[in-house]
Amino acid sequence: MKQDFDAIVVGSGISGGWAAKELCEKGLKVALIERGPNIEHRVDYQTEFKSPWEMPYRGFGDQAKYKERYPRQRGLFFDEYNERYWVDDLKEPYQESGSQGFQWRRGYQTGGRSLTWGRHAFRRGAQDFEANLADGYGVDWPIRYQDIEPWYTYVEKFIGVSGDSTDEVVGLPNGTFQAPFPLTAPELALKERLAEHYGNRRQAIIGRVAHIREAKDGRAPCQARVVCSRGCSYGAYFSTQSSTLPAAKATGNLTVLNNMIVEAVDYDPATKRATGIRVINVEKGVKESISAKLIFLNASTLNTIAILMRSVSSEHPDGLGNSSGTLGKYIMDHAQSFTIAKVKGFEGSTYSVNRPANLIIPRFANLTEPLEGAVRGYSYQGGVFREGYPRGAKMKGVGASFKQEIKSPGDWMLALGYFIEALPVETNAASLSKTKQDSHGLAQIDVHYEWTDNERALAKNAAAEAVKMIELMGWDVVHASTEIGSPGSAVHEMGGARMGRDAKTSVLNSHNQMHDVRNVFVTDGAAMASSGTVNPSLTYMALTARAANYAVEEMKAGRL
Amino acid sequence: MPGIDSSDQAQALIGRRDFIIGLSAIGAMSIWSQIGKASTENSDPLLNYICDKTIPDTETPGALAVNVPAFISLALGHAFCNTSGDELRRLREELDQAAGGAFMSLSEPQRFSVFFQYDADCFSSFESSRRSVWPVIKKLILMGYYTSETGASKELQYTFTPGSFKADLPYKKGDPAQATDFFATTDFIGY
Ligand SMILES: Cc1cc2nc3c(=O)[nH]c(=O)nc-3n(C[C@H](O)[C@H](O)[C@H](O)COP(=O)(O)OP(=O)(O)OC[C@H]3O[C@@H](n4cnc5c(N)ncnc54)[C@H](O)[C@@H]3O)c2cc1C
Repeated sequence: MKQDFDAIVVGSGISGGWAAKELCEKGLKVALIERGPNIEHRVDYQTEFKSPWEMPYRGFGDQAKYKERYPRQRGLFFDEYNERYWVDDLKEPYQESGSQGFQWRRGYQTGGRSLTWGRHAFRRGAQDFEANLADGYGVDWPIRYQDIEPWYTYVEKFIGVSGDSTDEVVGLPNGTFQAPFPLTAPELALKERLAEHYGNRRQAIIGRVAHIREAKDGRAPCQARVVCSRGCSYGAYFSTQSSTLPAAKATGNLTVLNNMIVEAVDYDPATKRATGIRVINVEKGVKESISAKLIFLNASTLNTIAILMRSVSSEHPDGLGNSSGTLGKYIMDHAQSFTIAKVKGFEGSTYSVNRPANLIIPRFANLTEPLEGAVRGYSYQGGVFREGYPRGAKMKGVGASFKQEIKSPGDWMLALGYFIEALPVETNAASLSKTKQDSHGLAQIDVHYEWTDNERALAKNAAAEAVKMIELMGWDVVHASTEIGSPGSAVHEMGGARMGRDAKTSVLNSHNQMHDVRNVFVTDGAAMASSGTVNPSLTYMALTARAANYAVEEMKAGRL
Repeated sequence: MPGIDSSDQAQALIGRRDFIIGLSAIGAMSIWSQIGKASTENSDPLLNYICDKTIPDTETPGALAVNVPAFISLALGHAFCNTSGDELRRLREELDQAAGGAFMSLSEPQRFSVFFQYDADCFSSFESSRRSVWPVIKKLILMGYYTSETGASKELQYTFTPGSFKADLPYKKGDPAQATDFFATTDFIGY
């Protein structure tokens, strides 16, 4: 039988772009299958250089439309400039059956959410690969930090990560960094005070972001505009478009197929191998098959799970590679909440816009400091800023003096969000709805998620410790929230096809390869066995590059 | 300054100028048709008055001069800040009540003094500010004004391409804020 391609990569987002680049560079003929339309780097960033007064709704967007059609997409970085990079919730419905629902923010186009992501890029620490074994939640990771370490380096060198190489933080290994963004005066004061009080147990550091500071591979340095999620013609932040796609294309081995929804993976019981995929060609309204020797699933956590669940056969009646029965289960997101404080002093200083990197207080709970009553931990991400014109709506004043007042920046404020590690729990799971279909005739994804007492205990502790650190500075706490938002709202949904040592309790092995089907790899968030306390995408990239390297070796050895 | 404005290499890579010109041509038509539509729809003297008095002309034109009332009509028609579209009627009622009669029939300086007191009373407590429609109208006035070209770039500073982030600069009272300060001006939950 003729193979259409050597390899198929499903999804062109953060992880799929990496899979395509790696496999193409190793000489494979690759089809990159993307359900959404193409977004051409630079050419299609139509709003990039717009000012608010040039936008129909001043950049805020049509709120009536958003409430009706984008209720689950709204949030950080969603606005009028980039609304087309987000799915219309009415067109792409899903079910959320937990008590707080599950917010699923996503974009269906070339680049996926690499266009709109927050670009924070951290390595996980050794503890993050050992936690499951240590406390018994979830299954043990089949890899340790040393296994992924060279791949972090490999990925960082290519994408470019800005960070401070003088940092020495327990549990948060340094990467290969380009120059860091600087801390502001109040942040530096906090950093010094924490060092005085806590030694190296608690630190304030600058965020590590996938922004380049020096030109590289046809990309220009970050201009500090922070209009990133419109698309960046400088190519200053990592996106599929700026980084992995050009590299994959340059090999001459890449075919990108847009507007193709992967329905399922085809399986041959005789060889026990996948033979290709079935797609819905959206433009033609027909179903097609595409064959390949190797399949990488990078459709993002929930979509990858759905593809596997739709891939049923007599040998895989509950979904492809699901002999363990764990497919779709043990989903996680980071639990989030926040503290706001008024910074005192520093009236004589300010900053000039815009820094894409947050202030970070890395994890200390159960790492450098023991914590009673909860396992695992959390990190803080935030920063300081001087209040802008919106403060005028909360204060009295009208007329020339009011206008004069608002002309100036206001008080310094500190915002600290918490990224709380979520435990892998069997009942936090995605499944296919038995009754509801989407507009393509596919069963809707149903996500059931409840926070556990452990996340709630960590949220309380995170708030209490934030208050202590703020009081140490003599600043005023405005609000220290212990309420955890809707699951999914951290947009770090992961798990559901976890890696593990045992085929009876996990879907993937130590190389993101299916235990049950050797030529299928899952290297997006679905592979994660625990959530850690840092933004996850750099880990998806590193796991992807590592798995691609392994897959090609296996292919050459004739074992796939 | 690093980057595209100074680097020949990057300039060549991107051909930014042609690119920008091409894009603005595409955007302009639909934008002006929207704004134009909104501005002819509005001629509410009360709203004009309130905008003008909240952010008056000083060295720079104020909220009425840059047609914030048109923005507010647009905003109220499109559920900005969870509005239902009924807010101007409520504003009129509250102001009439504060005036003990028809607010707009008062003459100056009484009318301004009623408005001034209305604003002060509204923000005197959390409860009073929650009961009143004024905070949301005030918010819309601010949003409309500081996203207008005048409000953003003449009254405040508008730096679209800073080139780099400067973490520590001396500040003296009266120096204008940056209209493009993302974190100081963005409501992450939505509008
Ligand atoms: C506002 C925001 C801020 C974020 N900030 C950060 C951050 O600072 N750091 C961080 O690490 N992460 C961050 N994230 C999360 C990050 O975006 C995701 O972890 C990452 O994009 C996941 O990569 P992926 O390749 O799995 O999926 P995506 O990037 O979502 O790409 C998946 C692709 O697959 C396509 N696809 C889906 N289903 C199918 C199908 N059936 N057939 C064909 N194609 C399909 C989609 O259209 C899409 O293009 C943020 C996300 C958001 C939205």
